This record gives sequence, structure tokens and C-alpha cells, in this order.
Amino acid sequence: MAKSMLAMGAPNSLDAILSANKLAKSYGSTRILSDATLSVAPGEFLAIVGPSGSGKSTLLHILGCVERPDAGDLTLNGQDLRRLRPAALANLRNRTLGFVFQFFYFEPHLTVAKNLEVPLMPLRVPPRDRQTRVRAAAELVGIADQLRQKPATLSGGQLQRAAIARALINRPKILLADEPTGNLDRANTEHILDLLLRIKREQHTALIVVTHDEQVAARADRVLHMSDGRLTVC
Amino acid sequence: MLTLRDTFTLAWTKLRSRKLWTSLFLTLEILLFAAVLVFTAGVRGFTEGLETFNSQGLNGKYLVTAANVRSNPDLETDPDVMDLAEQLYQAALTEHQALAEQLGLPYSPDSEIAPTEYIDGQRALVVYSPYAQQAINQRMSDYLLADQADLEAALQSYDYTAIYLQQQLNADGSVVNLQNGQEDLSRYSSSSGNQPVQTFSGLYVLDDDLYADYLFTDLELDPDAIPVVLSVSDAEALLGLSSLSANASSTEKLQHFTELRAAAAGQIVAACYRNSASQEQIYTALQILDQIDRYQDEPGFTSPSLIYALPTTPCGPVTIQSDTRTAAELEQADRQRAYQTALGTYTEPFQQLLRFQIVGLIPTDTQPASANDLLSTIQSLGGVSIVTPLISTSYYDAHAADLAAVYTEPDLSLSYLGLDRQYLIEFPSADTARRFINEQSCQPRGDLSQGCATPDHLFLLTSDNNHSLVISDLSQTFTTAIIIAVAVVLIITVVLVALTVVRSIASDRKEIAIFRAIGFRRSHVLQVYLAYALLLTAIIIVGALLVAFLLGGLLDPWLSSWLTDFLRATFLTTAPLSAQLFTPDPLLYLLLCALMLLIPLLVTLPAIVLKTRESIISGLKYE
Ligand SMILES: Nc1ncnc2c1ncn2[C@@H]1O[C@H](COP(=O)(O)OP(=O)(O)O)[C@@H](O)[C@H]1O
Ligand SMILES: [Mg+2]
Repeated sequence: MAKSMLAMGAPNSLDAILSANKLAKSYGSTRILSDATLSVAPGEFLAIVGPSGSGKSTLLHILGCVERPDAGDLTLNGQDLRRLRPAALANLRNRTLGFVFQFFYFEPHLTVAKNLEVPLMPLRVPPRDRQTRVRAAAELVGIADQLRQKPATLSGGQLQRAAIARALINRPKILLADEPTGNLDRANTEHILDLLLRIKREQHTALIVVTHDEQVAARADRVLHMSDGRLTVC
Repeated sequence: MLTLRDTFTLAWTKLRSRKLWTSLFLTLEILLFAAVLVFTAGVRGFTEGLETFNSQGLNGKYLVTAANVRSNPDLETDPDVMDLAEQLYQAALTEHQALAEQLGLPYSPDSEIAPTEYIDGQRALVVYSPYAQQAINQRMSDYLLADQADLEAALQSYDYTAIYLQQQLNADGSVVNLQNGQEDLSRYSSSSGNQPVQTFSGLYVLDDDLYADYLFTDLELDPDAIPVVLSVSDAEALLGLSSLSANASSTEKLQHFTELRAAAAGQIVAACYRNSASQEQIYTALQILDQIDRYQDEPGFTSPSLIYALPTTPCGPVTIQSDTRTAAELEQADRQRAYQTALGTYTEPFQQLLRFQIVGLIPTDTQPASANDLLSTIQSLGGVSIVTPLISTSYYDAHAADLAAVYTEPDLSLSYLGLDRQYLIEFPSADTARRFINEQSCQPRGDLSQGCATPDHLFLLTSDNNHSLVISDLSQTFTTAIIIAVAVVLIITVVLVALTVVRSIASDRKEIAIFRAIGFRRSHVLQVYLAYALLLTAIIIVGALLVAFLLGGLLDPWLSSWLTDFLRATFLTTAPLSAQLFTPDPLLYLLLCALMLLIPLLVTLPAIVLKTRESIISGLKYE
């Protein structure tokens, strides 16, 4: 067991900020994940690659606690997911995790700044703190000038940055991103990659990025390949 | 919990999506709720106005009329009564014949009115025959006769304010109004088709406490005149003012009433009382004069031995112009008088000029044109169904002897109907009055056509002397209408608000999933949509209040003066009263707004809970 994990280049599970063991998930009779095992160290950049339909997004949803696995263990920040009640789970999603979706959804009638505030709302963060945190996140991703605008006026690249800023606003320990550069051109992809690496470096955030983009995988600390419901080291 | 600010910031975004639907739905709802608000304010203003005007005079009193109804029309077809009447008739024939023989007078049974006749082979009572009346009277004395003590016994367990006795007086003869101070004698000639106006042939005695509001103030009373209160229609007829048509405008009615009051106040009207002997004298005098006039130029005409002169003053006596009767003729006349005196049917001719002073006017009771027509029902509320001419009990008590020369107790046939003496009971509230009627009236316990009174329920009780009960029924109807309107609007609101919120949740599936993926709990989502529902209802309430007050404020001056005129004309009052149509009740508005706010919210809550139960992942995958 330990041997196989070492073989995958995984960190010692004691140091891991996230560790998943033998995750399984089926949709009806179709098995999507059968034995997905991985662990991520704090500040590590892990890329998950694989063909379309291989279950990458499904895995990321399970890691992001928006979907429950059929079987297997998942420990996040030292907490056993199976033991958590819905409220604690919501809290975990809010504070420990940051999720960048394949598509980005913003509330069209709120300004970008207000949209970035949304993860602060359940925490009842006072307005003054909100402003500083929103500004810091926006400056980090480089959309400080667009804060007062409505999402519809932003470009695709800017929206992706805004999505990352929203995911970072609560300073999560793990940032999950599903094809974050899927809809972007090469130049924008490079910018986003730089941004992710900067976050990893400056905030010591672990990154788990699902991608089929060679450009992205090349910059990761470690790459796992998804096939037949399992993860293998490339 | 989210902060209120965050909750409403997010709820506000729901309002800004689906703008067309939302604005249509909100406009509809605002108009609906505003209509309810305006309706309640209008109904309140209207009923309060009605009550204010109705609180004047007799209308404002909760009165119940109690009549000891003992009438039994079946007596007229009762063979026992007919037998009795025939017995009385036969006995009278024998007695009268003996008396005539004794006085040496010729006697014919034809001079008596037989009590029965045969119509199509059926024996029938001739009700105007004195023997028929005697027979009915004898039988009726078996029927239950009630007085004030009985009424007080029936009232024992009820809270009442006062009992008033209303008595009827009837002139034993005719009381004919003078025309321009002159007596129209032509009516006594058989050829005359003139129907004389006899406003004062009957009087009603009633305590003037009861109708004090209808009395003219500051009148100089004529000590020689009988103070009477007349109905508006009697006064119109008496003073020669034509009455207005029912669909005259309020202004016309008020104008007319003002003129009528001015003309009637303190006015002295004269009438001539003549008993039947006096009337007969005039009739005879006219006939003789007519004959002389017609035949005096013919050969062989001899002047009658007794010629009367017609009265020379209004309501004066008939005098003898020439009397050339022989001793035999005079003796015959004396015997005739002795016979009548012995039978008790002789009366001296008597006439008296009566002077009445109009001291008050009572709006006449008008029956609603149609019972289903709300407007005419309301218009009919102004009138009072009390009978006139009225004289006050205190005047009657002080002048009973004088009045008795003209007015006597009514015909017995009336007293069996309980109409000669009625009691008016005043109650402090409509409820007590209604309860008293329901529990104590002989109807429906006793059959009205059989003489309603039963030993336990001696009186026929009706509320038709005033309209307070009708108005309280009317406001009950309005209240029901309001409750129905509110219920309908509430149901529509609940449905539309729930529909809007549920639709919003359904189209926000992905958004909700994302919010939850970045840390919102289900309760947070719930909060946002509840706030959305609250915003919707709050907008409806605020908008409806604005519309209602704007509409009410703009239209009210005009509508209120219309209402005031309408009520003044309906109640024919000169009292300085006014009505305001748009009269919102703050407490009712508060209640309605609270209902509008809470009920849709309470109903929407389960729908929101149900709709937000979707798992995050299915929401995320929703395209
Ligand atoms: N809710 C679902 N019900 C049934 N099948 C699903 C559902 N979600 C995903 N799948 C299927 O699971 C497989 C893996 O999907 P996904 O995790 O999105 O793959 P990837 O992200 O690697 O393209 C796909 O074949 C997809 O059609
Ligand atoms: Mg995918």
C-alpha cells in the first residue's frame, strides 16, 4: 500500500492537506471512479489529466465536497469527510476550499466586487474587512480596475481571473480548478498559469487542477493520469 | 444567518431578473390590493356616514314595535259568528218593531242592515252591519288581550331603554281640510265626485321624546291650535307643493326639502269636523235647495215646509230658514226623535272648526323600488315608517276632554289587529332588539292569519319603525364582502408570489448550486428567497398604499361632498352633518398589510424549502 503511494510520488499522508483513498463513484451501472487514490501536500501543484469523459470533473467534485463518493475515504485538512454534518461541510467549502469551475457563474446584477464578496457573506465579515479583502484578491489576480463593473462587461480572461479571486477570497488551503484555461487563448492561459503559480508560492495554497492542456500540466509539480477510474503517475 | 444587508442585496438581484413578468405581476397585485384598500376605506366612510346621519331622529334608535295582534279574518266566514249575528239581528227587529208600535211610528225591517247575505248561494257576513260587528266583537273578546304589564313581563330579561305607547284616535265623523279658508260644501251633494282631503281624520298619540329631532325649533306655539307633526308627503299635499320624483338629484331633493320646511314650520292649517248628523243636515239642506232651484218656476210648485240655510261661516252650523210645518208634522218629527233616542242612535248635529299647527316634519318612509337594488334600499333608509299626524302624549293628556269631542277610540276592527295601541320599545343595541324579536315575537310561533298572539307570545314584534337594524345588517353585508375580497386577493397573491419565487428558484438552479459550492448553507439560500418573497409583498403593500392614498386623496373631496349630499337628501336632514367617503381605518390597514406580508410568506416557505432541497451537484450539472 505505502509502496504504491510512493510509486505515485505522493507525499506522506500525514503531511497531506488532502488525501483520498480508493474513491469510487458510479452513475447507475456506469462506474466512473473505481479506485481513485491520491494525496496532496500543502502548497503542492497537482495536475490531473485524462481523456474527456474519464471522470476528472467527477473526482474534483468529490474532492470539492459537492458530491459524495460511493465508497472510499477522504480527509481534508485533517477532517474525515464522512463525519461532517452539512453545516460543517458548507463551512469547509467556504473556508478551506476554493473552487474554480469550468464555467464561471457571476450574479449579473451585482458588481464584480459584490460578486467577490459572496463567499464572505456566510461568515458575516464586516464591510470594512470585505473591502480590503476584495481589493487584495482583485489586485492579486489583476482585475482591480474592473471591481465596480458588472460581470457582463469583462472579457473571458478577466472573468476567469475574477473566478479565481472569488475562490481565493477566504484564503483557502486548497484551490480546485476544473479546466481553468479551457476557454482561453494561449496568452491568457499563460497569464492564468503564472497567477496560479504565484498563489501557490505566495499563499502556500495547494493547487489541484484538472486539465487536458499540456501547457498547464508541464508547469505542475506532479501530474496524475486518469483512466479506467484510476489515477496513475505519468 | 446572512446579514440582512446581504440577504436583501441578493434578494434584490432576483427582482431584477425576469423584469417583464415581475413588473406585470406586481402591477396587477398593486392594483388588486389597492382596490381592496380603497374599497374598505370607502365602505367604512359610507357606513360611518350612514350611521352618522342615521343616528339622528327615530332612525338612530333601536326600536321594536309590539302589537297585540288578535285579528282573525276567518271570523268573517265562521258560521257560528253568522248565526250569532243573525240572532242579534232578529232580536233587534222584534225590539225595534215593538218600540215603533209603542210610539205609533210605522216600522220597516228594511231600515236595518241584515248581517248576512247570500252570494252565489253561499252565506256571507256583511261586515258593515252593526249586528255582524257585534257578533265579531263578542267572539273576539275570547281572544288574548295584552297590555303594557304583559309587555313588561316579556321584556323582563332584556335590557331596554324605554317603552312608548302609540295610540290611535279616530274622528267620529269627517275632518275635512279647508281650501283657502273655505269649506267645500259641494262634496256633500250626491253628484259631487270630489274626494276631500282629510289629513286629520285620524291622529296618533306618541311621546314626543321619541321624535323630538323632527320638531321645528323656536316655534311660537298657537295656544288654540293642535300641534301636529306631519309626514313630508302629508305636508306636501297640505301645502300644495308637488313631491319630487324618486330619481331627482340630491341637490333638488335638498332644495325641495328646505322649501317645504320653510313653508311648513309653524303653519296653521284648518279643518272642519262634522259628525254624521251634521253631515246629513248639509246633505238634506243641499237637496232641498236643489229641488227649489229646479222646480220653483213650474206650475203647482209648493215650497217645502222646512227649508235650511247653508252655513254662512266656514264650518258653521246649518240653520233653519223657514219652518212652516203643521202641528202633525212636528209631532211626527218628535216621535221619530224619541224613537232614535230610545235606540241610542240619536245625535245632535255637531261641527267644529279645528286648527292645527305644524310643529314638525317626518321624512316619509319609501319602500325600496326593488329589494335587490342596494341603492334604492339605502335611499329608503332615510324614511321612518312611523304613522302621522302625530300629537304628543303630553298634549293629549292636557287636552283629552277637548279632543274627545272629535276624536274617539278607534273602531274595534282595528283594535283586533293590534293597531290602535302599539308599543314602541327602545333598546340600547341592535343585538338586543333583534334577540327580543327572535325570542318573543308571536311570529312565527303563532299563525299570523289566525291571530298571531299565543299565551306565551302575546305580541307581534317588528323592527320596521327604524333602520338601525337594517344598517347594521348592511354593514354586516359589507364586512362579508370585504372578507371575501380580502380572501380572494390574498389567494391570488399567495399563488402569484409562490409561483414567482418557485419559478425563480427553478431558473436559478445553477446559481444556487454555485453559491452552495462556495459555502452557502441551505438555510442561507432559503433566507435569500424568503427575502425575495418579502420584497415582492412589501412592494405590493407599499405600492398599493401609495395608489390607495393617491386615489383616495384625489377623489375624496369630490366623492365626499357627493356622499354628504346624498345622505342629506336621503335622510332629509338639516343637521350640520357631513360624511367622508375615503376613511381608511389604520388598524384595519395594519391588519390587512400584515396579512398580505405574512400569509404569502408562510405559504411560500414550504415551497422554498422543497425547491431548495436539490443536491449541489445536480444543480451544477444543470444546463
Ligand atoms: N449525473 C450523471 N449521471 C450519469 N452520468 C454522468 C453524470 N455525470 C457525469 N456522468 C458521466 O460520467 C463520465 C465522466 O464525466 P466527467 O467526470 O465530467 O468526465 P471528464 O471531466 O473527465 O470529461 C462521463 O461519461 C459522463 O457522461
Ligand atoms: Mg470535465
